[in-house]
Amino acid sequence: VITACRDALPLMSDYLEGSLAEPTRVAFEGHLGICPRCREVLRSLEIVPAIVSRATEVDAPDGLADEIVERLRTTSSRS
Amino acid sequence: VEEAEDEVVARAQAGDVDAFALLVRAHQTRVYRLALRLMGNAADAEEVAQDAFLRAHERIAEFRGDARFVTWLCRIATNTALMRLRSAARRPVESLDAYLPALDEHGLHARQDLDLSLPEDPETSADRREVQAIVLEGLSRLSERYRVPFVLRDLEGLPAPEVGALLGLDPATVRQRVHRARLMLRGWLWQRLRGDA
Repeated sequence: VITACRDALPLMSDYLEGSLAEPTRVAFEGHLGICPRCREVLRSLEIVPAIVSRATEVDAPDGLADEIVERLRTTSSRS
Repeated sequence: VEEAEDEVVARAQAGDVDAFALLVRAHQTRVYRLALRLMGNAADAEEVAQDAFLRAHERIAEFRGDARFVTWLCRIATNTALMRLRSAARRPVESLDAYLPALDEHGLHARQDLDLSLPEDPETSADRREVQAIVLEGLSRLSERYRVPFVLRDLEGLPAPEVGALLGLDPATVRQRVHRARLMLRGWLWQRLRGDA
């Protein structure tokens, strides 16, 4: 069992991706069993990408396409 | 829809600017979002999106239809953003290191009395615009060394070896940086969404 959170924290993403070797996974899960704070951090890490993804689902600003097309036409008419 | 886009792409490849304009309108949001995530701010994102479409127009003859058009376009947008990040004078970025979990001298969580969970759906507990602002500020404060691998791996869903090939990093380094980015963003979000809970 991993006793220090310092040793458990670096393993969390690999654990979530299922890429920890078996003995390490068992030792890590042993730590989770005794450390509620690490369980909370692990669960949080799992949802960070979804929170960031949702919050950045923004539309392109008004006028972006018009500006691009205008620049294109200017460039095309020059060449 | 795919067939229709193939026809539009073919017309754009034949030099029809109106056809390319249709592609711009169809994909501007996808490209802008990618640029916003990679650059971490709206002003740079808008410039990257514009430059990416202009570059795609210049190179559209090179599009062979091996991948979907939007995938090809996003690759160009990613390279445009990376070139801009590499050439820009490095702005001093306030590190998010301070938001890594705080540990005591024994390597245990320093504050055992705090619940370190994030709200599962922050938008139910805070205004959507407020959450957007907090997330964008976190992304912009994250050094690009961590932000870019995180965005490509976690938000764009590219496999670590592909991210490594784009950034000139080995896959293990990509995974380490993505992990650190997640930890720092977790701490930032926790502090801003729950820190006073």
